[in-house]
Amino acid sequence: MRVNKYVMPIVLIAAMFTVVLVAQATGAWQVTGSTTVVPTTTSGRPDPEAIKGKMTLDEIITTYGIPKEDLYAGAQLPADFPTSKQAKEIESVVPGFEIDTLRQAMKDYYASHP
Amino acid sequence: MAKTKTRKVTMIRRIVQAAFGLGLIGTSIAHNLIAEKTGAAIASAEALCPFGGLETLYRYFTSDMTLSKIHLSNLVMLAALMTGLLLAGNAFCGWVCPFGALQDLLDWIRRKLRLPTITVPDKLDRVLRYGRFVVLGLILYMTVSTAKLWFADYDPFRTIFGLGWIFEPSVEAWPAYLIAGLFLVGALFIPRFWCKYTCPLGAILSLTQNLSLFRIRRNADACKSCAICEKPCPVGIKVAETKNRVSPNCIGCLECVAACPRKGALEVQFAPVWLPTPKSPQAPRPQFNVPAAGK
Repeated sequence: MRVNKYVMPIVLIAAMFTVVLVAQATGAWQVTGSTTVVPTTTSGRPDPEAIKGKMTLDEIITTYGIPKEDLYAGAQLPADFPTSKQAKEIESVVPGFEIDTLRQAMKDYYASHP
Repeated sequence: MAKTKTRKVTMIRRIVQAAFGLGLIGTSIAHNLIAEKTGAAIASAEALCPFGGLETLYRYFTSDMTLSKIHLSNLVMLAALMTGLLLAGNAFCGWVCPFGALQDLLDWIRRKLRLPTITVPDKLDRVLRYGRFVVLGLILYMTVSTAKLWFADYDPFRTIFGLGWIFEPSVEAWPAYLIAGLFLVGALFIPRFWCKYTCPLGAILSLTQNLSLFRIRRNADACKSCAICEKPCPVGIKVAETKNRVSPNCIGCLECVAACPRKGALEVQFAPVWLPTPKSPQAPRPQFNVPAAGK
């Protein structure tokens, strides 16, 4: 059955938007929060190597299950550094700070808390 | 008349492509300027890529987790794309895909600058078309075996539309810049270079587009094989030689349908796969203006 040629793009775009809108309405539309998708090591714990500069300290604490005090002590962070800040912003208060320091702090924590 | 119709389809298509392309770029800019600093929920270019959903599908169903850098939005975009595909075939490639829009823009620039087109010989072209499946296979294999978004470091879509080259340029990203650069040069001289030879998403779509409800069909009885429809085809399909089914390389741009001068020869039809192929309607009789006798 012949149809108007514009039916193809119209149906395509309408279908795509419908799926996206349904996803938004049901809460399935997430464009951030990649910390919920940290890969695990063979032990089943989140992989410390997956810690990225764009992750906030809150996200690291939540995802990796490390108490704030242990994280700050292990990475030697200033006590007043806000946990809402991203890890890459630590360098602004601790010159020369590298993300590897956080990763090592996590590994040390896991080693002492099997 | 056919030329007017072609121009109309092209103009409308350009507007739709521009809307999606500029929308993506705007979202990417907002993501880099605002979301990266405040954590606001503004999508990055890679969060909106349907192919990312495909890459993470295996991991999502085997471990209930997605790959790093992938979000649920990628899976939603994949579902949205597959829904659109089952309804309307590969029109996504011709009307929505920002990568396709960028290539069409480069083709327009080439014509304006009167640069030469590189014509790939038919035999070589046929072989190179399988490159899409090679790229797809390589990406899926490396993604599953490394359990990470392996292609992210090389993906020209992410490189170009993620705008990292503006906001976070890095010497270490040189492989990605090189691949993106090669793609841009290729697309400048070979229309729809990426779509024809390397697009992994296009490989997937080409396998499934014959399942679509709406599709472009050629009526061999009405067609006189003038091949006017082939001239505007961005991906070089020999439309006048196709059988009933649409070519797996078709991007659903409708330029051929608009260009066809014969009514009934090339049409968009509602033709789900479970229905029998409709019989070709009678070819229209040619009309001649015969002056009345004595005049």
